[in-house]
Amino acid sequence: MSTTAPPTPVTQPRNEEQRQREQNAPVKISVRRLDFFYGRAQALHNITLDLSERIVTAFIGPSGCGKSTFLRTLNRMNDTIPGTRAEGEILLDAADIYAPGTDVVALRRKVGMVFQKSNPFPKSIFDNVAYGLRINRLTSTKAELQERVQEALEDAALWTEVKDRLKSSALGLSGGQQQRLCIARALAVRPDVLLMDEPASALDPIATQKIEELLFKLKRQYTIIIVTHNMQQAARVSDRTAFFWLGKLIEFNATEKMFTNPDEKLTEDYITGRFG
Amino acid sequence: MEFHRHLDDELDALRHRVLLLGGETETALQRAMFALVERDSNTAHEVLRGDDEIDQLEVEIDRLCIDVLALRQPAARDLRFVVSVAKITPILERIADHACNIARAAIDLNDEPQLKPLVDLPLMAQHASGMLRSALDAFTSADAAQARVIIARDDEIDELYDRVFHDLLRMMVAEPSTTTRAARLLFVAKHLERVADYVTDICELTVYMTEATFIKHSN
Amino acid sequence: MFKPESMTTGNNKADSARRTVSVMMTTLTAACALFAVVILLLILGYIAARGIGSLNLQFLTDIPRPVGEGGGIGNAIVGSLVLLVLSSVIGMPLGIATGIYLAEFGVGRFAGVVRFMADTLTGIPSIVVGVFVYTIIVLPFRQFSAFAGGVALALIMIPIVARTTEEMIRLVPASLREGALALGAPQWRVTLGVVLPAAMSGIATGAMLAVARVSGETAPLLFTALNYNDFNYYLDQPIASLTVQIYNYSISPYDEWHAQAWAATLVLMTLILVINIAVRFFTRKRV
Repeated sequence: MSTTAPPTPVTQPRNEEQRQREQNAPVKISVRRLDFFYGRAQALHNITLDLSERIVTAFIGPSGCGKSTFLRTLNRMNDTIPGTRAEGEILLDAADIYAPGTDVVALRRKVGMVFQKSNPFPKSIFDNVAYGLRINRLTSTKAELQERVQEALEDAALWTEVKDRLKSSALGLSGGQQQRLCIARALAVRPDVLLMDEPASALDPIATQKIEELLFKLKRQYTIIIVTHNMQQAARVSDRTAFFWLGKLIEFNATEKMFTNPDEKLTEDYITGRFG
Repeated sequence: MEFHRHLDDELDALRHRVLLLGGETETALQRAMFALVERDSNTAHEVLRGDDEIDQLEVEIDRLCIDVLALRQPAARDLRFVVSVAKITPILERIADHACNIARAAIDLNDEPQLKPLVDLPLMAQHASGMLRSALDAFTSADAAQARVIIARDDEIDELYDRVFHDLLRMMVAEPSTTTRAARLLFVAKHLERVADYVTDICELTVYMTEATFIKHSN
Repeated sequence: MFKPESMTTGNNKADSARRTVSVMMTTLTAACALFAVVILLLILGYIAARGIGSLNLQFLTDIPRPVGEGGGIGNAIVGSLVLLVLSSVIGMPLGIATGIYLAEFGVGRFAGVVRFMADTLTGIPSIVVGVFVYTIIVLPFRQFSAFAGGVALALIMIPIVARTTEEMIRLVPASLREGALALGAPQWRVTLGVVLPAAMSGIATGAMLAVARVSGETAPLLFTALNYNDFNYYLDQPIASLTVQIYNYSISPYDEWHAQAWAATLVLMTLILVINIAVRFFTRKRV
């Protein structure tokens, strides 16, 4: 008989540790009483929520519920649409991004975005990823530029697939690769926050899975906010889920709570497919 | 806002099957006890033959649950219901197994002279099957409060078991020739006690299904 | 319920009527397309047949000679190329810049006026442009010149290039702009670095159309570049051009010159074809 004590059983399941981390994650973006208007039509009503650092937050809700609009207020992408107006506060690292004098260019460098439809520029793979670095003058030497491009492509799990054809057109990539290229392009400028507007809605299941796996990896470094129509996707990839309905935030909870026992009846009805 | 969901039909089918399984199990238990108390081996054999049907029902429910999970990906309330059904089904099947064991004990005991008129054992059985019936009611009507009441009733069974245990033990010590028969009866008591424990599990699942709270192992 | 027999049986009256109309319309459109192509081929074939006989190396390199002495259109070919390059250098930047303005910033009254003017200008008879340039350049300098010809052709080009550029830029998906803006690019960099390259092949097609259009112009050149019977490389001097040469030869009474006009037409057509192919080649979707 051995005298050594048997190993202490792991009392906490592994994801308990993760849950702790998520609960204690510091707030990255704090939204307070946000109203948003397209002309006279109000698209968002009094949204207040905190988005935490280095976790994946999913926005779900039926079409037209305001989730995409809300996502686009976070990097002021809505500014490009004439006649829009935001009221309330969005604090990124405690600074109001809608305050007068905010440098929108600097904001967008800090808050990257990936769109529903992959939108590679009609340039080479390399130039696509290098675009943000070049326009923001983030690298000083050619070697540094190449290094950053490679790093971004590696982070987006695309490097091995494209390293031999960096000079060829980005438009020759498959849909899934194009979307990962767009992610790499966004990552290259090293943002803090990554906004993703239905990034996998136009992709086949395998490409979708690759993007989802990528999210698990990226959330160690980035604060990720993803809009999705696919509730199973929200359940799979996110730590917290916010449910929007008619421009209002109905419920914001831990994802496992949302999908097993949501607090609000509306959320439950939506998640279980009781209304369309 | 609500509209008909195909999923609801499937969940109803599932609910119906579980009720059927519960009913069969309850009948098996009652008939096994009848065979024991009334010394009727024919009924005991019928219980044993009926177990196949129960096993098949269990397999069918298992398959339905897996299908619903795989194809409909239920969430929230629906998910909790399906998971609860998937967990309750084997519990019911095990209760039916206990009924079979009681039936087998009855067959053996019926070949020998009666040890003594049974009083506490039928009482235990009555309690246990009453709990089972209430638990199935609570489950189908998603009544967490009733489920909690049933859980509390487990103590009564435990008390009865202790009494039966001591009575039979005393008998074995006083009259060693009764040991085999007394031991068989003791096993019957143990089976009934286990049935009540299983019923408690069903009730805990009912509470989970309704309130999404785990009361198991929380005391 | 799906009934397979309804897919195959044609006893339904509405069904057969629908099929008849479908067949008729398909036939009609195909016939129209065929007609257009046949006409084009007939023209090209006729010109080739008439022109090929007078075509030889001397014709392509020599200057015009009196009747009976042969001669060629070398100076006219060079002159046409000079005029095209000159008009492109003047007209393209202006046209493209206008198009960019209209597409990217063109909201409000002023842009509306510009757009309307461009449309109107496209429809103005080219001889009017010739007279206009004659008035503002030839008369003040008392000199017909290649430069004046280039300006006249450029004026015809600008509205065409501007409008096609605007249309092509508008075709660039908004998602591309957003992608660049989301990376922190300022508006002008988005336009120059992303939108313009994306629209480039379309813009080039528009520019090519403009070049093809002006290379066939005669009227504006009669009042501006005039003509010249020898090679000329000075922009302040009159210059020969294929179109004017063809015009002069074809209104002459001599059969030899008529034949040369056909040959020159064939050369002009080939020139336009070569420009077309070249532009397509250089602006093909490489990226």
